Amino acid sequence: MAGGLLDVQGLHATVEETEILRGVDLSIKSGEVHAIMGLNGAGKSTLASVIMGHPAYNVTAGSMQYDGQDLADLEVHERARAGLFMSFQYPSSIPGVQVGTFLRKSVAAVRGEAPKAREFRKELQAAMSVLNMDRSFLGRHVNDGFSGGEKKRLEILQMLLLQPRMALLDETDSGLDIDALKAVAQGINSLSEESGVLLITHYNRLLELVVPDVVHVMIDGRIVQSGGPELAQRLEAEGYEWLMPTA
Amino acid sequence: MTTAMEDPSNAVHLWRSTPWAWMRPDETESTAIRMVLHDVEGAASAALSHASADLFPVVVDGPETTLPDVDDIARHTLAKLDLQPMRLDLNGAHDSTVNLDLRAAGHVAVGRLHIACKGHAVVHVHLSGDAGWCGIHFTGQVANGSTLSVVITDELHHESRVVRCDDWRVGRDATFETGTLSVGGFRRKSDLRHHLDATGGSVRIGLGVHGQESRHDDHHIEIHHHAGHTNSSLVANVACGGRSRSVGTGRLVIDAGADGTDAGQVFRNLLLSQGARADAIPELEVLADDVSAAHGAASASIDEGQLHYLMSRGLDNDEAAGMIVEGFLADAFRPLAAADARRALRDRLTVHLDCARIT
Repeated sequence: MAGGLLDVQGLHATVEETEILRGVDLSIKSGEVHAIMGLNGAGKSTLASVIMGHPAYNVTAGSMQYDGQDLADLEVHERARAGLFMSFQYPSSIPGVQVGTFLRKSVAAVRGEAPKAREFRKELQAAMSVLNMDRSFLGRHVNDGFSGGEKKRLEILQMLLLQPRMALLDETDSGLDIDALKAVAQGINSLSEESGVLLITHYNRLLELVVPDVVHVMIDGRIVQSGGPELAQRLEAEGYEWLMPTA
Repeated sequence: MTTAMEDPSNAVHLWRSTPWAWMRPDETESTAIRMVLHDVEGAASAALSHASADLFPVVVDGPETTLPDVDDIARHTLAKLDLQPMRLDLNGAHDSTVNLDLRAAGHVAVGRLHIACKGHAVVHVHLSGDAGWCGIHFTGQVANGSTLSVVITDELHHESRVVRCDDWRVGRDATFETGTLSVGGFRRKSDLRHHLDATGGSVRIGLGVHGQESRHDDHHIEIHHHAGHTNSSLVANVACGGRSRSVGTGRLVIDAGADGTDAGQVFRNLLLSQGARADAIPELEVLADDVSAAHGAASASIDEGQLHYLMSRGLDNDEAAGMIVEGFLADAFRPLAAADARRALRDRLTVHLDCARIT
């Protein structure tokens, strides 16, 4: 399994002393798109949060290697600067901070230097046009008063600007109308071919627009089944019953 | 002597958290705060001239025979110390902006300024200097149908003690809005009073306070609705780090008969260190029947979720905390309608935080 851009082995994690992840193994190579599906509470979002270093979670066993580095040695911002990106299911709002200012500072932090104003404007314009976003977005405050769809678009806009090597997208498709879903899918597909992507989703509809190389099913904190895109179709048709452990 | 009266006791509400004994000037000799008017932009006509003393609510005339109300002791002291009150007359059109620099120097610096506004104007007051003690009294009249926005950025020396008093009167269908960024001075007491005198009047107040080290900042803000169908809003966002302390008291008074009033005030405190302390005390006195009056207060430390979100975008802990604090303080000025006013406050805040210690 090892040798990927992201290698997770035997990962156990708890939140407030409750074990959520119970031995996750996952390896994603550069250029691969993986999807994780599963019932609510299976641990999908926890996995993404733990990889990104959310302080609410404790890793109790196992390892996470990213591009040959042990993630345990990296602070959250260092993970981001190393090319990890997470699109949040419920991104925080930051009142008083304008989107334009936030994006510029974030890009400067990840790239290690402030982008030139004119070039950044062009870059921004191009990315916003992929996502059909209006320029007025830039003057609003980060996620403050945003609709669900607007939040998801802003997450993907950040991804396009930061050009991560590994993107963790946590239910980026939830709450999106058809047009917004297409725009977001276009954004994901326009990521570099060298980037790895981990999609966490409940539905096959996103996977029809962003075709995964591997689909995993997570149940009770473990990946219990992996396969190709046909696995997502089967789940859509039959649900998870056939994968549930028998009593 | 500065005043014949005794210091107010700690039981006096206005001086409970910041005793007058901490705030009164040490000397009776004072230097006038230098006021310079410049950069009058747009179609404003602005004139700075000497003012008569009766434009200020407390008049000291001849030998002291009666003692002022203890709530007015600061105004009284300023009136006795200041021999050169000034007035600024504004006849503004839309988008007109006036910049006024106030420079406080010497051991005791005092200034009183009356602003009379007809039309529409934004006044940016920048208070700076290294005075050991600085006393400033603003009064103003917003004429019927007029709109006045006053932005006050206070960057006095970090060892200054500051007493500020305001008395604003707002006429029929007039709007007064004011934003204060309080980042200067070692110890501060502000007593800010606003009066909605006639129907259709509106007051919007935004206050951003940043406490560092052992800074003490006490803002008392009163809004009086004397007439019906008036509205007011107050947003006070306070971020305290180090061992700083902030006190915010809001007194909202709605007179009998002032029906149709719509008023709200909110105090938010962001505690950035274990040693910081912030108290917020909103108070309502509603004597009318048909009004909408809301108030709230909240204190919290930096939200872990916000911090993680920004760090996941490459900002380190200090950068992320700085961005949250900047946004939090800037958000106090969101209710201000004048874009120029918001921008001026924001710019000054950014410059301040670039050099400030956040936690």
